[in-house]
Amino acid sequence: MSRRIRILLGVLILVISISFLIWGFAPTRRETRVQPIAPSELQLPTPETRLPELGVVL
Amino acid sequence: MIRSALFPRIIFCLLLMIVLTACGGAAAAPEPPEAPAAEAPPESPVVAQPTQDIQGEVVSPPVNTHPAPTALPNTSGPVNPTIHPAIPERRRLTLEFPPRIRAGDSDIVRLTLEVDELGTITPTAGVEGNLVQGEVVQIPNLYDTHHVIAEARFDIAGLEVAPPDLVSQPLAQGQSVTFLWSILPEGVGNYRGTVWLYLRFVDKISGEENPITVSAQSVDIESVNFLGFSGSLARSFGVTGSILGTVIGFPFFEDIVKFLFKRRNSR
Repeated sequence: MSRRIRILLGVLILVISISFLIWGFAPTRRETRVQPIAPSELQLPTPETRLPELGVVL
Repeated sequence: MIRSALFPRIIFCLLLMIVLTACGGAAAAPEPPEAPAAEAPPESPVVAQPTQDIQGEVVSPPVNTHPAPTALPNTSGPVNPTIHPAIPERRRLTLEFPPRIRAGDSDIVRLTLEVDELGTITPTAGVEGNLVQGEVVQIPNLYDTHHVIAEARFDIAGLEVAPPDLVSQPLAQGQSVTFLWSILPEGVGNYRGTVWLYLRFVDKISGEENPITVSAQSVDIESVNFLGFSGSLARSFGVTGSILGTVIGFPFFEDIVKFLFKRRNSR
């Protein structure tokens, strides 16, 4: 009887431990986002796109 | 006595005021302020019709003394807008990150600005009806006139990010740049951050800098644990528990060990 309990306890510990190992060594899922960039977005800023300088009027 | 001396003077002043008022009314009325040029209606040749006055005499129209309207420059021809220097290649921005990470484990966030497969661009212009008239537009190459520097930063609260500051790399024509960040969560939870990519154009002659923001991408990373164990702790418990479970649970393991020890002792 004690032998059977010991085996059950051992199997239970083994299952839990293997679960820990699987979770601990599983590769993480990676998300990849691809964004095409047109050449028009990689050009020099034109004067129209710049914000006017703020002035403080006292 | 005093009253009798002042009376003629008052009368004189009143008469003077009446005369001045009468002269002012007879003067030409002030012209209304001229409307601004932008609001002025388009000038058209004004044809004044002869009019008749009250006495029936025909009054000739006044001579138009306005200057002739100036002709506008002809804009119907081809317009040549100012072409700004640009990077003559199509690029692709790839962001790679782990949406879920084990607590206590570090991971990598990668940002790559690479040249597209069809990166070389021949810009053409001119479409008329169904006939496409291709005309190569000469866009000045930005790489010839400027140093192009790619800069990136990963802003996220709660995660340990290395390097935490702005990272710069020179961007050459046809070359890719890659930015890598190592992240380490401090605890369990959801973390939200932003990956920024800038380009800085530095004029080769004047040294003038022009930065632009190319991309700002939101990133959500969740840090998790397993039954309260972090990644490293779970692995340690897993290894230890596996050995212990094997020793305890294997039905004949004890007998095998005893047999081996007896055999060794008998020798």
